[in-house]
Amino acid sequence: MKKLITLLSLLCLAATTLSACAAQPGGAQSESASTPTATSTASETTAVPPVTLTMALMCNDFYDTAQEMAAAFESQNPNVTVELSQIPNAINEYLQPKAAANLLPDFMSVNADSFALSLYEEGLLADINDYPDIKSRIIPQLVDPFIAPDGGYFGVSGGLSSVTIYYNKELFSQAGLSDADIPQDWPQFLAVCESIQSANITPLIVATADSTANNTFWTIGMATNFSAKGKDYAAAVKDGSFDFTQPGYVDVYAKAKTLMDGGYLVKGVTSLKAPGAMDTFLQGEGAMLFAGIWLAGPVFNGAEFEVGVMAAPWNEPGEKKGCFLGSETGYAIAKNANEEWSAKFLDFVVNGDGFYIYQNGRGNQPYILDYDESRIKMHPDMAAYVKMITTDTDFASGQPPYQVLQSKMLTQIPTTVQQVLNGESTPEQAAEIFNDLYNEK
Amino acid sequence: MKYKEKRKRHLDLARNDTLIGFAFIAPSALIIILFMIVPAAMSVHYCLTDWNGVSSSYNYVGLQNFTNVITAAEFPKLISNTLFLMVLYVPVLNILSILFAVILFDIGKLSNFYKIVMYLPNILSVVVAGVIWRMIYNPVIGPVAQLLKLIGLSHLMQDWIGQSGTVMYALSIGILWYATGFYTLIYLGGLSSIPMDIYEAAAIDGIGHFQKLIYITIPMLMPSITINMVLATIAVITGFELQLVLTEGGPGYASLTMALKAYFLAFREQRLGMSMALSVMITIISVTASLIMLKTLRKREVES
Amino acid sequence: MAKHKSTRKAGGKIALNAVMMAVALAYLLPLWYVLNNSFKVKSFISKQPFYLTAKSFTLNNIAEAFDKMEYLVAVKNSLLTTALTIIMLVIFGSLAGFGITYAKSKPLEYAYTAYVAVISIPLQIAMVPLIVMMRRIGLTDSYLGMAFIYNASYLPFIVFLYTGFMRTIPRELIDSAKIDGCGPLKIYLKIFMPLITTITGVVIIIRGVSCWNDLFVPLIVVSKPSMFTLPLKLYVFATAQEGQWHIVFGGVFLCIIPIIILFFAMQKTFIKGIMSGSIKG
Repeated sequence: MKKLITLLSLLCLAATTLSACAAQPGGAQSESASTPTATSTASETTAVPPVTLTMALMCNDFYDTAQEMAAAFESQNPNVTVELSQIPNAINEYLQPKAAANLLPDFMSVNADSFALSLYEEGLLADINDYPDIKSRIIPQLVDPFIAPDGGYFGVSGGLSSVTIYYNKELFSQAGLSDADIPQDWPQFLAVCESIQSANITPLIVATADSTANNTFWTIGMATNFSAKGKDYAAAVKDGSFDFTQPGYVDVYAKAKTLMDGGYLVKGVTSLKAPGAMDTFLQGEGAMLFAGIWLAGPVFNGAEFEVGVMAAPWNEPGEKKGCFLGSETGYAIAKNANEEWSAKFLDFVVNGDGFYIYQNGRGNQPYILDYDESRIKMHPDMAAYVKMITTDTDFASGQPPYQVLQSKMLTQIPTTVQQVLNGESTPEQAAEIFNDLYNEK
Repeated sequence: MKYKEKRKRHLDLARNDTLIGFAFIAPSALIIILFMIVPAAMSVHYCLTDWNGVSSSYNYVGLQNFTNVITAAEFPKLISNTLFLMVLYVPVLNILSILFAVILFDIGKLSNFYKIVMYLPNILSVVVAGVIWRMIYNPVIGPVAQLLKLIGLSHLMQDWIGQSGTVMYALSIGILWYATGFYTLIYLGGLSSIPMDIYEAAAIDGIGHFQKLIYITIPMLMPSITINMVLATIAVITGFELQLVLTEGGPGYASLTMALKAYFLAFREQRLGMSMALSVMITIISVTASLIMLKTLRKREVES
Repeated sequence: MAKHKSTRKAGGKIALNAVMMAVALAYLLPLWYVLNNSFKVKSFISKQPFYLTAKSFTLNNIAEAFDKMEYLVAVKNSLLTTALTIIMLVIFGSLAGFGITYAKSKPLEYAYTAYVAVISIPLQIAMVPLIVMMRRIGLTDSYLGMAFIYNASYLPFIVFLYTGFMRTIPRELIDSAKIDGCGPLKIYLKIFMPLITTITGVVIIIRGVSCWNDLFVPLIVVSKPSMFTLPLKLYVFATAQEGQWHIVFGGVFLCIIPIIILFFAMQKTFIKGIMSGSIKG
C-alpha cells in the first residue's frame, strides 16, 4: 500500500510538471482568427475558392426548413458547401466544449444570454456591426438583447419571442367553455382549469424538464409581478441588489404550486420537455399548452382540432397582465477564416430568400422590419395575439427577465420549479436556494 | 571472485531484463500519462481557479470551489444519491447476478438462450438504453400508461422519473436491465472454474442447496465477486450518461449524482473550477472505495 | 427414493425455466417495444405499443432517421474509431503485459501496481483539460485523437488483464527460449502471441463494444458534424426530436442493428469471451 501511494504521488508530481506548460486554457484561441481572412478576400477577384461552412442549428421544429435554406444558399453560391448539423435545445452545453477548444462552428444558434456574451467577449464570435446591412433590417427591440457592454453586436435574433397558452377548442367546448370564457385574471384562470378538470380533461400541459420552464412559469410570473408593476428587475439583478426572497419572487413559484396542487397540470410535468409537451397537446391529451409563440407553426399546422391562443393571465383582478417580448434563439457567426462566408449566409437569412424560407417553414414572428407580406404565411390568430401583447395597454411587455442571469442561475430555474412542483421545497425554500446561488462568490 | 563475477553478471542480466521490460511498457505508459495523468493533473490545477471554460484568463481562488461545492443546496442530495446507488444498487445487482448465474449454471438446454437474452441490453449504447426507458416511463403516451388505460387502471400510472420519491428506483431498474447480463456472465465464468469434486464431496455429506450456495459457491466465487463489486462501484461513482439521457438529474436534484453534477457544472453552468473540484472529489472517492473493497474482499478470499 | 429425487429435480428445473422465461421476457420487452414501433406509423405508436398490423406498418420512420442522422457517415466514424482503438489496445496492452511478465523484477512490479491503481481514475477528471490539449496537438476531430483517449482510459485494465493471463503461462517457456538465444521481441511474437488469442478476443469484445457505444468522448472532443459517431448522433438526434417518437424509434433501430447483427453472428465468442475473461481476475 505504501509503495502504491509513493508511486502515485510521484506520478502526479511528474504530471503536474508536465502540465504546467500547457495549463493555459484558451491561450491558443486568438491565433487563428486574424490571418486567413485576408487570403480569401484577395483571391475573390480571381477565382472563388471552395468553402465549407459548418453550421450548428437548434432546429428541432424546423430541420427540413434549415436544410432547404442551406440548399438554397449553396445553389446561389456554388463554391460553398454547407455542413449542417442539428443540435439539441441545450445549445450552451453543446457549444461549451467547442468554445474551450476554439472550434466553434462557422455559423451557429445562440441565445441572447450570458454564455453567448462570454463567447463574444472572448473574441470567438464576430461583431455583426461590421455588416451594417444586417443590423439595419432587424427590429430594434430584437437587436438590443444581443448588444454587448462594449457595443458589439454578437447575434441576430431568429424571431420575436413570447409565450402564450394554446388551447384546444374542441376540448374547451366539451368542458362547456366557449371563447367568451377566456380567463382574464388568475382567479378566472383557476376557475377555467377547474371546469376543464371536472370534465375529466387534463387542463394544462407545460414542460418543466428543460429550459421551457424559464419561458413559461418563471417569465410570466416575473413579468406580472415586477415588470407590470413598473419595477426594474433587470437593473437590480445586474447591480447585485435584487432580493430573490421577496414576496413577489416567491409568488412566481407559488403560482406553479397552486396549479400543481389543484391537479391541473399534465401527468409527468416534471419530466416533460418542450417537444414532448407539444406532442402531448397535439394528441389531444390536454386542453391547454403553455409554450412559446415560436411553436405556432407546428401547433397550428399539426393539430387535427381547432386551436386558439390566449395570454397567460397570472395577474390579480384589475391588475395589468404581464408579458414579455424577447428574442428567440438567434444566430451568431464565429470569428474565423470563414467569417466572410458566414456573414454572407447571415445576410441571406436577413435580406435574402433565406428569410422567406425560414419564415414559412416556422410560421413564427418575423425579426426584420419590412418584408414582402405576400410571400409569407402566418396564422391570423397568432398575428392578432402578437399585436395584442405589443400594443394593448392592458399588457406590460418588456425584455424577458432571464437574459440578465448568469448561466449558473439560468440552469437552476427549471430545477427550482421542479422542486416546487414535486413538493420537495416550498416556494419560500426555492426562492431561498435561488437567492443563495445569486449571492454565492 | 568467481562467485562475485557470476553474481554481477546475473545482476546485469536482471537489470537488462528490467530495461527491456520498461521498453515494452513504454508505449502504453506514455499514452496513459499523456492522455490521462497529465490532464488529470491539469484539472487539479483548474480546481483552484474560477475559470469559466471559455475565458483566456482566470483567477486563483484557493479552496473556494470546494467550499462552494460542499455548501451548495444540492450537495446532500448528490451524496445521498451516489450512496443510494453504492449501498443499494451495487449489492442488489451482484446478488441478482449471482442468483441468475447459479440458476443458469445447470438449467439445461435453454441456458444459452437465457444468457444471450440477458446480455443483449449490455451491447447497446447507454444512450439507447436511456432513450428506450424514457419512452417506457412516459406517463401519458408511453406503453405502460397506454396499457393501464386499456384495462381501466390509468390512475395507477405515475410519472416514475418525474417524482422525487420514485426516480432513483426507476433509474435503478433501467441500470439493472442494462447491466445484470454482463455481471451474470462473469459469475458464470467463475462458477465454471469451481472444481466439481467439491460439490460431489458436499453431496455425500448431504448438504442442501442453500447451504451449498452459502458455504461453497459464494466463497469459491470470491475472485469474481471482488472484480464485480469493484467494477460496479466504479461505474456507479463515475457513470452519468444514463442519467443524462433519462432524467437529466431531475426532477429538482432528485436523481443528480456527483458525476452528473460535475458534467453540468462544466458544460451547462460555466463553472469549470467547481466542476474540477467535484471531479477531484469523485476521483478520490473512486480510488479509495476500490482500494478498500479490493483489500477487504481479497482478505476474505485468502481466508476462505 | 432415488427416483423420487430425480422427479423432484426435474420439477424444480421446470419451475426454474418458467421463472427464467419470465425474466427473459422482461429483458426482451423493451427491445421488442423499440423494434416493432420503429416500423409503425406515428399515430399508432401510443395506441398499439406492442404489436404491428399491416395497416400500421411503415418503413418511413427508418428512412427518415437514416437521412436525418446521416447514418452511413456516423457508422463509418464509429467503425474507424473502434477499429483503431482496438488495434492500439491489443498491441500496447499485450506489449506491456509481456514486459511485466518477462522482466519479473521489482521496478516492473511497481509499474504493474501503478497500472492497477489508475484503473479507478475516472476519465471525467481529465476531460476538460483534454479538450484544450487535443486542440493544441491538433488531434481534435480525428480518429487517432479519440483512439488515444480511449486507450488512456482502457489500457490500465487491459494491461491488468494481459498480465494476469501471461503470468499463468509457464515461466520455463521464456527461460528455455532465452537459452536458445531468442531475444525478447522474438519471444513475444513467436511464443506469446499465439498463446494470448483467447484473452485478445475478450479484450476486443469487451472494449470494442464499449468504444462503439461510448457517448462521452465524442460528446466532448468532436466538433465537426462529419466526425460524429453513432451514439453522439443518436443523442443529439433523440434529444432534439423528443416527441417525434416515430423518428426516434427509427433512429434507435438503426443504431442498434449493426451491433445486434454482430452479436448474433458471434454470440458464442461474446459469451465465452466475457465468461473466460473473468476467471483471470
